[in-house]
Amino acid sequence: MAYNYNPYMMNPAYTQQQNMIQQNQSNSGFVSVRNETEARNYPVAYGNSVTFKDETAPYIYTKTMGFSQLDRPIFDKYKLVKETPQDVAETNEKPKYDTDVVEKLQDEIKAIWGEIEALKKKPTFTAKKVSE
Amino acid sequence: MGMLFQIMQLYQQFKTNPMGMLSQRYNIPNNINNPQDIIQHLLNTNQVSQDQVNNAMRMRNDPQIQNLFK
Repeated sequence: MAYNYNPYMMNPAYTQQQNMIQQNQSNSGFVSVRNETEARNYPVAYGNSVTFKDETAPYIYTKTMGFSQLDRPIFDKYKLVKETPQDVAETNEKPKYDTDVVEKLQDEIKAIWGEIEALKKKPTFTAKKVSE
Repeated sequence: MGMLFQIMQLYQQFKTNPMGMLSQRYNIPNNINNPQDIIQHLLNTNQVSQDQVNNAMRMRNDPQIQNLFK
């Protein structure tokens, strides 16, 4: 009696699961969390840093563990701000230099130059020996 | 027959007290009894890597995989 059962044939559901896992592993390196608490409680190895993306709010979290058990983990929270077309236009504009300052000080500059020229013309005194 | 009996014993042991078996296998102290602390202990003792933890957590949170266990 011949049996058609092949124990080496892969279960299709298991193969599909393997493919899903391989697809999920090739991601950007962010760990998705549902809230800040989940990120704070996430297990991180000593000397490692993990970056989280909040699925329900526009935040990125980073949790960094030191190399010693005495070090407390460093937790940072970053807010994502969407850039509008107006923001892009403002950043592309050339920076405005304040030219009013030079115009305002023009009179003062002229006065100082005048004083300098006057000082140049002042007579200089030289020491002369007085005979007894 | 002896090997089969041992396997059955291990299976029964795991069925009744899975945490006991895992704690023994991975040297987890008795005072560590919740998943987060267990994973942190495995990380601290270099029994698993950060990448392995990240992949496992990603799999656990994947809705497609969660459906497989329903």
